Amino acid sequence: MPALSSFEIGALFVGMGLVTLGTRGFFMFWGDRVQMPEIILRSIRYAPLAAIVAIVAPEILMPDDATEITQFNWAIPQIWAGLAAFIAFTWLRTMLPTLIIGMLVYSALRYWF
Amino acid sequence: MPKHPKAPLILCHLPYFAWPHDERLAFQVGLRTMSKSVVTIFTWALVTGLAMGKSTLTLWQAVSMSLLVFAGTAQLAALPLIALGLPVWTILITAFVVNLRFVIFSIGMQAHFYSLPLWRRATLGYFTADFGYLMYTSRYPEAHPPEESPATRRSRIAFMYGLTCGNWSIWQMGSLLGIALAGQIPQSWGLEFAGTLALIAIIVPMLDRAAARWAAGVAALVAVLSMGLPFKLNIVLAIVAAIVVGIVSDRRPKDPLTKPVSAGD
Repeated sequence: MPALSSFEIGALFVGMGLVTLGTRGFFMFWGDRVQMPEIILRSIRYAPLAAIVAIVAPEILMPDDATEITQFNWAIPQIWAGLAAFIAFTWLRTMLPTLIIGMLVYSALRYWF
Repeated sequence: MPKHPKAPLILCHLPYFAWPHDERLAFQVGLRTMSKSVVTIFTWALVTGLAMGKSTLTLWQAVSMSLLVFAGTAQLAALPLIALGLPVWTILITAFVVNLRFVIFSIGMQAHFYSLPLWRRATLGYFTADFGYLMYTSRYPEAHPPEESPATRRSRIAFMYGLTCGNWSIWQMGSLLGIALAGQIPQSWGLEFAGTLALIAIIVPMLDRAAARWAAGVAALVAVLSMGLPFKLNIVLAIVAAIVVGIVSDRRPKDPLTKPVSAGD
């Protein structure tokens, strides 16, 4: 297996740091040379919510190694643990118990299924 | 819309203790706001740290990845590619595509912080991840509030600095701890799922109005339907879908946009 040399790893991480800077700062670099129209600013209102939902949804709704929607299966622990955590947080509004309840359901169901 | 005059900047060249009182207060409010989500961010960072610690990276490579890259989803996407020994540029392109959502966020960041000098826009951009942007825009949805005085504008910037400092410190603590503990925590615990659960606590408080629930539902559906796409492009597609929902819902009577929403308390 071809492994990356430690120099390549170093270059990669510097490059990835620059990617972080370049993407997060993308329009910031324009400064006051552009002014975003209000319609665009309003329409990206739900972008951060959508990003987090998009990161979470496949992890919860689909089996670990799934790549397609056809692999959907009700009998996976994540769905029910996610639902338990959702209900727990809606009810309790605190993070730590939510996490513990979710992980308990997850662990219990992993033995069950 | 008239172009807004450049507001006087906060005294960034002075150390924190020399800042005006109001700005120090706003900075502390930012830190406190971020600390309400400490469990979520810490868990998510810990999981990322564990993944780095268990990967093919050496200890110091993992530590430098955490400190240099500071983008959890990109790091997680890069690890299997590094293990496969893929060319550096392939991994960089993957990191870029995974980070595309930040390009969309930077539209909002530009509207809020265009008047800062270049190096401060660059550093603020680099250090503002999902949580910072989310909490800032929840508190200040309007980019150009017409009645804002220079003083409140400076406080707003200091608030953002507080959020960002809180986010970075919590993240790095969790991430470095994860790297350190990776040898001790067995895979069979399924601890990586805790990171996913922790994000639920960030999502739930944001579902406070119908348009947000529609956007979240559509984003989840699109993300799952397109999960087979390479480079985590499904995240970008989900955001585009949510933007369309946002535009459509914008035609309806106004939501109470100005209501501050606290994320994850």
